[in-house]
Amino acid sequence: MDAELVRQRARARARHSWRNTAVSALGPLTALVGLVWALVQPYRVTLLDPDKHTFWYLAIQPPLLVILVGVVFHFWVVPGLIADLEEVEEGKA
Amino acid sequence: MRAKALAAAVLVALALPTSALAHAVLLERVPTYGARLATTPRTVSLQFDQTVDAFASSIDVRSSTGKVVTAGPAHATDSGRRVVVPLRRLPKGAYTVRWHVTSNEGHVVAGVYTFGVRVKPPPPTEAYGAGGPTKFEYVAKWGYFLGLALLVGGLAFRLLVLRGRTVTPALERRFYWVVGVGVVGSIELGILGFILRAADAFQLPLDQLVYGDLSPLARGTRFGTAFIAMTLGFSIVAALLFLAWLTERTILLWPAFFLGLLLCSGLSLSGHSAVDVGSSWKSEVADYVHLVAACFWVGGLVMLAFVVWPTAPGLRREAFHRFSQVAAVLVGALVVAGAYLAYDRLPRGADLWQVRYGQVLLIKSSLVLLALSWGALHHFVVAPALERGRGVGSRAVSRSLRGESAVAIAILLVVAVLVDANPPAKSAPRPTQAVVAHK
Amino acid sequence: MEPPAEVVHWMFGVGFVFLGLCLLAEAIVGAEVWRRRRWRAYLWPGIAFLMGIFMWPVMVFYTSSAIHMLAHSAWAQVMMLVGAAQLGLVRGKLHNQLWELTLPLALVVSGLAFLIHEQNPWFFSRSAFLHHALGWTLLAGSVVCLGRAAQPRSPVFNAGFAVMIVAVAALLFCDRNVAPIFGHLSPLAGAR
Repeated sequence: MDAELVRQRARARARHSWRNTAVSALGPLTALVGLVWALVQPYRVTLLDPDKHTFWYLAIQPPLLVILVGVVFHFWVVPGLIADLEEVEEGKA
Repeated sequence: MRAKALAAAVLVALALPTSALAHAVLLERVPTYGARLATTPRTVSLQFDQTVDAFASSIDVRSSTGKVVTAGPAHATDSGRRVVVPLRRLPKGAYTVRWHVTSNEGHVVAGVYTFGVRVKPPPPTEAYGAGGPTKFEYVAKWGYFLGLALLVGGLAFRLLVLRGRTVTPALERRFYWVVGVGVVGSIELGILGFILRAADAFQLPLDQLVYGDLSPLARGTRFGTAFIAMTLGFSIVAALLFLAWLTERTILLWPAFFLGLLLCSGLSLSGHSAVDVGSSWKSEVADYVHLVAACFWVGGLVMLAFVVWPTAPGLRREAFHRFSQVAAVLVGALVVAGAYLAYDRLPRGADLWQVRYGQVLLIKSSLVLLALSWGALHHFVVAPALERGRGVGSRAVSRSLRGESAVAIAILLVVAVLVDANPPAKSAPRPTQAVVAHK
Repeated sequence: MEPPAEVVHWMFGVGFVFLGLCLLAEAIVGAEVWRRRRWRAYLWPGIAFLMGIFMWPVMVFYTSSAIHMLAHSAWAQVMMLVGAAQLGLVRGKLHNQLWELTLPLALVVSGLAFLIHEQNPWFFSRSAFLHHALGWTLLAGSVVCLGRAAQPRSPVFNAGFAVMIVAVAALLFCDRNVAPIFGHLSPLAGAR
């Protein structure tokens, strides 16, 4: 009986884990997009060539900000969300 | 079927912006707006971000008396991106530049600004040819004052008169409606007032005004500065009010109240008290006190008549008594500041019936007298009766409060006319004045 | 010292990326899980409300034309309205689900404001193209949000809304003051 319960829970966890994976991937994917953008268009990272640019272009670095958003989301929002997701999935299982 | 056809037509129109709709942006003016030049300029030149079609009359430059001072037709240079008009030798004085060009794809872009030769020019709102406020502008300004009164007076009533009292949910809900309408109205009507003032300065129909360059008005005038500060300020007040409602934390109303009080000074600093001949810090302070007292009074009356009376019978007597006490102080401040301003702006008694400003002031004073008499009746007759436990449920008291509120709101309409009427000059007009804007 | 227009678009792009990530995460895990922590339930409406407040300085400081000013004022107001309505619903201060309709309404108003205030055709310049693209994206998004209001638990509508917000962010990041679009740049567009 216990073994059957464990198997059912394992199956349920596997069924629901795509959500876990997808949520966990959001931040890194966003940061990756920012990184690729910075590599493809390095001139958008004006900090690499600060003498040629004015204040606002140095203050706002779009590719780096996208990376930052991904990082903040991943470390601030995702951990609690994963914990809650697992809790709910455990409960349902 | 017709609705579908109409929707399809709208979609097609949006999807296919015709090629005749490009709109050029003015990048640079020489002389620039608000410039005080030491020597006479030889030309007026306007640089655009794209090619424009210039006509002989594309740039019109006039003196403060309306005399045309251009020395030839306007023409385009720099591949059509710069429009230049030659000038005659300009004597000392203020000048108004009105321009309009057509973007190569057909759209009219226009603007107005002023500059001075050895004098400080007036703001674009007082440029030569500005026709003065219209009736529509008066109504917008009235709504603006009413919004301000509902906001500041409503907050003052909630925080001071109802302080320490448990209020019912129904009262709280209606209070937030009143101050919410006040703050949203102040923002919307502030924007409308700004556009109407621009329409007046530009002297353009509304369909052409939408592409008018408003930056000289926003940046080069006290009115524009006040518009910027007050729009930003009211957006923060709106956010604070919303958070107070959402979190049920009355304490958040205090910063909203103080910010609202501060924003009232924007009207004083951009109005007569700041710009009239002979104005001083005393007249600015008096104007501010007058405005704030009026806001407290009108907003408080509305709160009492339309919020407390219908929603919280248990609070009627106490709220009436407390507001009656506060109102006595407010009326005192209102009358003293108003009398000082009247004396300051109309030093000759005959001005009261001989000039338009004085006539409007007379009408306002009559209405104020009526409202004060009504208030006195409430203070000396109704309040003691309520104290004795009589008339708390009386419809007559409710109707009377609504009546006094209506008179107070009517006074605001007269105020809207008054603030745009010019007081008579105490001395000779300044030479910098480009035009008598209000005729 | 105002930031150039393109920089302002990028700043709002940052806000929209974060908003999009939150909505995507909510669409993936479902509202039940997302709202298990109170602060998370307030997160995206709070960001929308805050972006609405930040839009007001843009409105008053960029006054090159009246229509431009009015469009920014419309965006400021609808963002605040949507944020406020959603916060009210989440907090339990608003009970009528019709308040959900503020979202499609806001998207319609925003989309129309983009399309009306951009007077140049699609391939006039990059900024013109993006304004048209943003306008139509928002109008399409309003249909999705209408479906979302009718079926709040639908993963398709929720994901659609989230993807639309991410698309808005991408379009905002693509903006440049004067730049070609797919090789097109009108000679009237101001390029030197």
